[in-house]
Amino acid sequence: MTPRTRRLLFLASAPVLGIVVVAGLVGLPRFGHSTAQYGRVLNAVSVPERHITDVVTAVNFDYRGVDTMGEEFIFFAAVAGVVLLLGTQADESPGHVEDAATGRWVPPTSDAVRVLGLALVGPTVLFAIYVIAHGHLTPGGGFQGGVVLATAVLLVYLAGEYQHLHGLYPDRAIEGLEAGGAAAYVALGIAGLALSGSFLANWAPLGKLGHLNSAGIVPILNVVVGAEIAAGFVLLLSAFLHQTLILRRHVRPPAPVDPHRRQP
Amino acid sequence: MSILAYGVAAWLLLVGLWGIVNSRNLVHQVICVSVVQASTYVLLVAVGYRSGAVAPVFSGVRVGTIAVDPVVQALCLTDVVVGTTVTALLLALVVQWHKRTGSLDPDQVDDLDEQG
Amino acid sequence: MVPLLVAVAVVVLRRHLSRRATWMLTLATSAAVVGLAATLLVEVHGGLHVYWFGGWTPRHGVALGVSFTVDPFGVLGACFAGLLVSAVVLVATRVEQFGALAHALLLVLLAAAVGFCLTGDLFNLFVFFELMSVCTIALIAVNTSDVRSLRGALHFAIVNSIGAFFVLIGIALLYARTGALNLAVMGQRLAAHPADQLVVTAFALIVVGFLVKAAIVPFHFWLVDAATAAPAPVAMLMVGLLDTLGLYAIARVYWTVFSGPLHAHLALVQSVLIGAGVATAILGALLCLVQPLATRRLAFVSISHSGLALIAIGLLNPIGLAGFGIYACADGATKAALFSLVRAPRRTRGREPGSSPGWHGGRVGAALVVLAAAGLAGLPPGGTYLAKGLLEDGASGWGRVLLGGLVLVVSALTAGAVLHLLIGRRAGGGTAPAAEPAATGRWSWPLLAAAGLIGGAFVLGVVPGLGAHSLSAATRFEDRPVYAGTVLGVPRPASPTSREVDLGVVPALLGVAATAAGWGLARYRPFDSSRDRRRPVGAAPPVPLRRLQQLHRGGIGDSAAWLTFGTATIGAVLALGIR
Repeated sequence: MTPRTRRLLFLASAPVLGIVVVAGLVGLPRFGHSTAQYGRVLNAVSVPERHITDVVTAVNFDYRGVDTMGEEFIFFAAVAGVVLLLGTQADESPGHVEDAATGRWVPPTSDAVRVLGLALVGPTVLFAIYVIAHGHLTPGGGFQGGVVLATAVLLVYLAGEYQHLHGLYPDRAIEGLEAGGAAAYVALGIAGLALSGSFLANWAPLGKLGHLNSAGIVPILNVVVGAEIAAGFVLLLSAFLHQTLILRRHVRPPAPVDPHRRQP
Repeated sequence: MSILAYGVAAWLLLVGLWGIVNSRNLVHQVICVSVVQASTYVLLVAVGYRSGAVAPVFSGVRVGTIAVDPVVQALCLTDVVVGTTVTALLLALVVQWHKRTGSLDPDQVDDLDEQG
Repeated sequence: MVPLLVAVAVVVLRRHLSRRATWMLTLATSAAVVGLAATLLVEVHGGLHVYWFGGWTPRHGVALGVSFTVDPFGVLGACFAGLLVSAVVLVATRVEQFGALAHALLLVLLAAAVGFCLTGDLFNLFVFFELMSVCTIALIAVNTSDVRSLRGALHFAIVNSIGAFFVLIGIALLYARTGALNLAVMGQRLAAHPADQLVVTAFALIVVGFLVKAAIVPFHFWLVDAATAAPAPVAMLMVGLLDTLGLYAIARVYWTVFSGPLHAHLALVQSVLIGAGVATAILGALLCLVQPLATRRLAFVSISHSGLALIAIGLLNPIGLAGFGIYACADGATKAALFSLVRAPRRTRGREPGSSPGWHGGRVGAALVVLAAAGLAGLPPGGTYLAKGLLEDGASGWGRVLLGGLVLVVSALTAGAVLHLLIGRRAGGGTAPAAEPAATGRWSWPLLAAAGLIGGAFVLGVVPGLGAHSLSAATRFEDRPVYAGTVLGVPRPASPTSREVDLGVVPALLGVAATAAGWGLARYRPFDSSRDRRRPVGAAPPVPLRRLQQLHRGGIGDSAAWLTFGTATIGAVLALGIR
């Protein structure tokens, strides 16, 4: 098909699709009048029964914990996929990455970025830990906190230079952490099976409402997920960053030093 | 106001599809997939909204206060993770694609196809 | 016991990061899944098992948690997934890019497929659906230096993501209406009211989402790209497992959720599904004749047969569904085996890719290809013969005659196209067969796997009482009140079903006729590939076919445009018909 016929085909059918979808949307309850029973019941029972004040977390990690397990494995599979896809191929030569990109034509990191980046690392890590740990009390949880934690690592990369830090990067440890996070979720589920009779059932004491160590296994699950997500994102980042180094070497030969490139 | 959120969802769906159909750049196409997905976020959250309700977080709020639907928010969270991961995978594919062909045009690949 | 099934597959996969020699472990795991599924199959034979994760049993008709609702069909799917993945692992020993990570992905995919078959929750179904997609995307492009497989992976990923978003929009609509996500509860709530536009739109979107996965016309373009370029093991998964599961999901969702409100419009839904199935079957059968490239030809064969499977579901009665169950397993196994036998095209310079469609395994391999083609055609006593017999039995009156004719023609054409891979090469004779890379052992692992798959497909046809069992399972599958009752803890007695399956001689004759016709077709090659100029007779396909062929050369944008078109058509037909 030429782009023209393709566009015509789309333009002919999109309005019809639009009408079908909009006609379906018209049948929805009026905006702001959600009547879903499922949500109402959960809003009512999760605080007294589960000692979880953030009901969204209760849904994700308690009532519908299996969905989250699937979700975690989607993430895990994607990270494995990206690592697989961006792994070094036979026709590329790995290992000389640091040598080839010595920063001759990459603008050096400015002092401002360095200082700001390093200064932010501490607070970011702290904030991430807070978000993960309070997932069952306030908005947050393993997924959100994990991403924030990975940002801290990104800040380190930003402040330093990736190609220098690459040598220090504990590859195996991060991979182990990610895999361990995913495995631990399943292990906790099996523990539920063994201790409480069904997969992912709670077996820890519910604790006192509103306290950090309440809500049974939900905080543990949050920590586990947080570890996996943070490690996974670090893997993703480093796979992509690594790729830019290879790309630069292959596509753009190290250009002669050009002073105009140094502008921010 | 009441129909605006639903309208936005439908609009995002169609405009994202249009982008995918017409794209001349793979990165753009991948982002268009995210646009289509954004329509599902909007729809999910809109479906659970209740006027005048609080967020479904009962710290500092009396239990029994009318809150919006937590289930769709949880679904949306799952959806976001799915979206992120698929985008990451797609972009990884695009990076490899660019490395192999030196191009980002999704239609340029046609000549690679075998001759019928 | 159910979660164990998932857990075994999932836990073991972690260890896989310890490189090398992992395929034995993967194989053991998938075999274990088969074993567990088989035990489960025996156990659920009596009816439906419901398992609530986290112990969240429903209260007052509200399902708090996520349930696995296990019925014989679902377990059959899980069992089949395990078997197919085992075969894939064996075949993957041939592909050097299949490292530890790829094996881990394969196991996650298996776990997802099992979950997909067993789950009783619509959103959970979506999660597993996405999990399967994500694994497949990465697996298609396992060989990143092959540009065509990158393209296949991108195509698969984008089109299937759009399909998944359609499903999700449908879920959101249904959630807003029913306030539930459990299939049984949703079905119960929806049954209280006649179908309105919201239900229709949700149905159309969800069905389209799964039809995309099943590669039904006009959503099939991705499969042509992806299955042609993917490494053999992954192509096996796509044609054997993914499209089957997509169709299974349609049956599952229709019977548990939509059958209440849409029952009044049965004929309309039937005609939409069967229409799409017929179009797919015919298009695939015609186009597979003119493909010079072996894997691409198989992709069209596979599309064509998915169309037949959709017709079986589209009959919307127990007999059709029973036929689908058997057909999906037998035909899926055969198609997968073919993909493992046929050698991927090498793009060597100087030789046209289509001119030597080789196969693996020398004479044994060739014999297997012939057997597989006979299986595709429905030669008794193959499993496909039994299934096709049921399929024709499911229709009535004139429909039955037409359907019989269609099945005959499509089977003959596709079997002919497959056989032609062998004969065409032998007749050509000129090109020396490419040296077998794995010529050392006649019975290599991949060959054994293919033989197992094809043999299994034939054995299915002779298992005594399989038809009757399948029929009673199908009747229960379609009994929504009993399903809902069991899930919500108010069991109701299932209506007793005992019906003998007696196919008569007609399907057998049809099967033989299709095989013979396929053989004849392969010998005379009325439409030969335009590349093969050794025989001038009918050298170029007729113009309409060439036009169609032309359509399949588009990229992702084309595919998305067709997706929009197909969704709009299905949505509009349903909406206008039900109004």
